[in-house]
Amino acid sequence: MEPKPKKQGLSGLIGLAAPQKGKLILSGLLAIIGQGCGIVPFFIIYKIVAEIAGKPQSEIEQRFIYILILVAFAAIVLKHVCLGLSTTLSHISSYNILYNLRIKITEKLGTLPLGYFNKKNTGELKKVMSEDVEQMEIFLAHNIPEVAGALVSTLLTAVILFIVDWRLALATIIAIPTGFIFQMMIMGRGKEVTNKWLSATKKMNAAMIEYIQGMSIIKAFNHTVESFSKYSNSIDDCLHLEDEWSKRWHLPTAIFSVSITANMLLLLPVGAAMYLAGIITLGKFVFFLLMGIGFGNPIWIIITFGRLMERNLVCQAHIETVLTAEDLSEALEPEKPGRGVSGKSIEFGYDKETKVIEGIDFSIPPGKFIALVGPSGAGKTTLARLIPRFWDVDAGSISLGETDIRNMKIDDLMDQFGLIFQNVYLFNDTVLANLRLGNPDASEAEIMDAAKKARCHEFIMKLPRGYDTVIGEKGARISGGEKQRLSIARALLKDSPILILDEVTAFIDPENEALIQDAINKLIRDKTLIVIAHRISTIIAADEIWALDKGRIAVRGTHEQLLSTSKLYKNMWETHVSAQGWALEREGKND
Amino acid sequence: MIKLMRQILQWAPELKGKFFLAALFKIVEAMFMGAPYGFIFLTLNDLLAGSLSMKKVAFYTGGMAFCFLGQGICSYFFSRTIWPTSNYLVKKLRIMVGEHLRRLSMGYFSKETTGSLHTLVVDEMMAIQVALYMAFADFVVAFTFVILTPIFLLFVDWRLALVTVAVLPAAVPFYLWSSNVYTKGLRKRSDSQAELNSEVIEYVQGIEVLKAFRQTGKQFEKFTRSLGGFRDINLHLSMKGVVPTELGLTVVELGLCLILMFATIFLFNGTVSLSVFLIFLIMGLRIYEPIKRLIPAVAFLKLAEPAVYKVKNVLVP
Repeated sequence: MEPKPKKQGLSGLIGLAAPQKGKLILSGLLAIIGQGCGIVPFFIIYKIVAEIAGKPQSEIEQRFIYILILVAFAAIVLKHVCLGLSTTLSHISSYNILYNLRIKITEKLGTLPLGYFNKKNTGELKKVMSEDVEQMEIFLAHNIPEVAGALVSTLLTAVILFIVDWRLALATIIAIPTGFIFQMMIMGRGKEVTNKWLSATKKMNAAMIEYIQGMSIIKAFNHTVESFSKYSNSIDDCLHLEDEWSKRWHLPTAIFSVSITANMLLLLPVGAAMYLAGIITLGKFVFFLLMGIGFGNPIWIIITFGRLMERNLVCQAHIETVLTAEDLSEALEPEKPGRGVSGKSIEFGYDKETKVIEGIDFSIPPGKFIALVGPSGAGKTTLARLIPRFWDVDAGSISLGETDIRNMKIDDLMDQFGLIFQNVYLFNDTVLANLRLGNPDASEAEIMDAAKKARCHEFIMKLPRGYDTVIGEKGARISGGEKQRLSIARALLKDSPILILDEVTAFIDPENEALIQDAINKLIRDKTLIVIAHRISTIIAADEIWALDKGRIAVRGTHEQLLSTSKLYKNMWETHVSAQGWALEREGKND
Repeated sequence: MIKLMRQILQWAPELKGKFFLAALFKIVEAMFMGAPYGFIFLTLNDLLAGSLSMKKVAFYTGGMAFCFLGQGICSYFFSRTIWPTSNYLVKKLRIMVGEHLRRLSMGYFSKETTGSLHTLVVDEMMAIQVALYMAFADFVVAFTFVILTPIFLLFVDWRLALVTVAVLPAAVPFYLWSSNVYTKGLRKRSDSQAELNSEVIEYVQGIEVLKAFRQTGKQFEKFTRSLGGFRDINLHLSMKGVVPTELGLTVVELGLCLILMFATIFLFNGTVSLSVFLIFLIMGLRIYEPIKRLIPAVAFLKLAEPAVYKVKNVLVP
């Protein structure tokens, strides 16, 4: 079950902004001053009209009017200086908050068990880190200062209006709440659609990544139509919900846009009646005509905020879901790892219903070579991944020496292992950077030395820019064997005491297999070695072979012992040997 | 905007009618929005001439009510037209790109990253959508106001009408400046975003390796660099963009001071009446609003430019 986000709503969003509080407050203050300056020209016009309309021309002091114009000039300039500074500050703080938030998510992902990534697809997490975080920028850089400014300027204007004439002030503001009521009604009902729409966006993100990354398979198996319909259906679903979401806003937006200016319908007759009855002066009447028609303008900002807020909250909830996901616990007082690996009564399943590992016990003394064999789904890879704590066991324990791996710092634990997987993951970076992942402090000479030992120096030098060649996404510009050798060089650089090799030669051609075997032989000296083997011939020299079946170690022993005692192992060996001589044959060719 | 619309209509010519209809609704809405000023002018005229009666007030109020109703109806139909049209367009573009991708050779996919293609199909398309929601309306309203208001004002007083529109050419350099800043900046931002998205995808998909090598979080420098780069590009863009934007807005708003000054001069030398003086004061406060909205709308419009450019590039046979 997904953990519930701890913080929800506006307070959660504001919580994200806490580290940049000072800048954001200053930005808000500048926005308020700026918007306040924006009211000055209105007031000046009122003063000018009062001066001109209230006196005979001979008594009007022209100098006073020009001074007022200068004040209006200064207020306009000051307004934009303040708003410019406010925008700059809010952007500085918001982009820093976004950067820190993304780093926080990145670090969080690093602490999560791998099971989390099985449940969440790449598109979903990409959406959180990219789109959902970006959505926060709108809230932090725009909404906070703009809404602060709009609220204050609206309140300030209302106060001025009430000071000048409370009756006309009432007539000016009375239509505004109607728009707000509509807005609130829509917001209250709309959360479900917003949630659905944003969930569909997540699915669309995932479908697009799957479509792009699966292109080679799609083409190879001529599945272009099927996979394309999955891609296009996700677009259809998303846009259908976006249509639904936007439909809810058509009417309230129209009503609101009218309600913020429709106060003139009340203001004009009330004002005219009051003027004709001699209750108010011409200056006051004109002032209200001026203010009335533009009074609602800042409220647009508030209403836009409302609309965006709904989306912001959903995005923020997505972020919180990642940040509050249950991570691999670390002991408060971590212990140091010992030597040798052991497991006691280990049980594990990817879900509660199915057990993949059922009660395995083992002990691997330091420096020993252990091989894991068995049919697909026997639990070999799972067991190998439980040892470096990619997942936590459901029951039992795994220890390094006497120390339970859950009582160690994750970093200390990871230092103990060198891992080479069947599906090598290389990053879209230079060869050098990919190798340096093994040891960020390694010198170029050390990296080259590792590359030579792993038999990849030669092919690297043939690349267009040698070690500085960018090898493409997942190493797309080099062959499978070359990728595998780079991963061995990476492990060599890490130089960890325990090595886990997971079917590293499974899909490799014979020439590359020989090179990889040679590289592995250089890697394994003096190390504890846990090898998952597809080709049994590669592990016959193991100190102990474990044949796994249905999540248990069915038999264990040396190659010779197992051949004579285990039917399961003997069958596997015979299948392997007969596969060596296997060749493609056309039906009827030998007839 | 015209360039963007032309390109959009090349991709989806069937939407021509819809966009035309949306523009028409917005133009009529803008006219209804401006019409109440006419009633205020008439009210002031009558007021100063001493001929204002409650009957006339009721008539003017009724006229205004009709305009507000018209404004509301047009606003509603504009939203009802532009949102589904933009959504349809983006859907069509996403499908066009997807359809085209499956016909490309695998060589293309070894050059392009998943992140950059994903950014194109998701984020860049959203930029086109936003440009249509936000900038389209602002451009239509601004142009309607720029064309119609001076015509109305010319009838009231041609000299003050000229003063009113005098700031518009003065704001053009700032508009072009900001347009230039956003064109360059948003292209860089678009590339940086694609890079960041690629990194995010790599980070998530390579997490097993990164965990194994203790390179998660800040330790994975390549990713941190991308995050930092994206932040810096955004910061740089907003800082560079704020100067021409605020200067342009200042110049436009200072038009009010110009109107005030010249109207006062003309009033004192007796060449304009008090009602003309007052209507220009009222108009001076409001006429620039649509123009002011145009300057920030440039950013939305420019946001769509790299998107259009990239879609065009992908769709090249």
